[in-house]
Amino acid sequence: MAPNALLRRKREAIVREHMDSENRHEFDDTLATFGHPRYELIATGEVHDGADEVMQYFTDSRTAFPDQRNELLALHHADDAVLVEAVIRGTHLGRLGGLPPTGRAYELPILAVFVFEGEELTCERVYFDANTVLRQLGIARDPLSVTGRLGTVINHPLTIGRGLVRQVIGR
Amino acid sequence: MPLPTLGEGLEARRIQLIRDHVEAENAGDFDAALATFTHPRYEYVATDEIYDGADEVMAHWKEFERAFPDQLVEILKLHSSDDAVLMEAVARGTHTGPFRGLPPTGRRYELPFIAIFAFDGEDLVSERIYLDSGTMLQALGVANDPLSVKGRLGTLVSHPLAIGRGVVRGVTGR
Repeated sequence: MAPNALLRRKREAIVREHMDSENRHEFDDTLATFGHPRYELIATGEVHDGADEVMQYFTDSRTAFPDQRNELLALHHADDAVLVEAVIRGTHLGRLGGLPPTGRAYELPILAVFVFEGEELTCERVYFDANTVLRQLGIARDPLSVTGRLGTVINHPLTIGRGLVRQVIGR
Repeated sequence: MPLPTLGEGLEARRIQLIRDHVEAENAGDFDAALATFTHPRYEYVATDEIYDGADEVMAHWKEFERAFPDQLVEILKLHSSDDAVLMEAVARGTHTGPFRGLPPTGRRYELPFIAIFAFDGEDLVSERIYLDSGTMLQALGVANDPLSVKGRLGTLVSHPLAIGRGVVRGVTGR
């Protein structure tokens, strides 16, 4: 059953308020857009479930990237989800995991699946490429570029060595 | 109020086309997969790669078939919208052939991704894919998670300037 126009409008308003309140840094408002607060980050396998974990996630990500903001590019209404293509931009001004701030800016395309049960937002599941951020922060290279390949040989001698042997002996 | 949604028939036909597309890829029947496109086109958001037209799309499939001949895509969830079918899925395979200068590692990988199959009416005109390139490279053993201890050591060795400047900034508070 496809959602009717009224349900679409309600869901879209929730998603837009969710993203706008993040840009305003009003995370209490962002939290309030969830019927059940939950994030799933596909790239890293992270799950943040419940108000406390989600609030901690907002705090941690804005410690690393205090100016992080989103721009909505496209919005797709499906039966039980609103799927959003967006770009996230920010500057690495605080600690990220154990990494000291690099002061570099990044731009990251994402696809967020806002999962709904009726009118209630119950999860935001995000697909993105973590390497895209790390490359722009200067802490990772494309492993298939020339410098990346050299780094790969240095950092992963066994894997590459075994692969070369396998290639030479044809197995 | 009139519904701006698709007729049930069109939605069902689009979903069947996507199931046929994935099934053909899984069977290695790339002519059949190509035939599901009215205009063949792939866009990989992570790497800015675009394959446009039959020749480029076919060459792209062949490159992956050589590197990962046993790759299978499992559909987890199909979302139907006005002008697209969005597919959450996971690709699994083994790296048994050369891939862009990387010799085969013999390792298995599991890669979750989402694909946006864009439609113009009945016609499939592009597949745009969001995936995490690191997930695959880590599984193949040619990248570390930069936030793990091993990854941090590797990052320090590979990127001394970026990390050195960051440490100085951390100490001086600027």
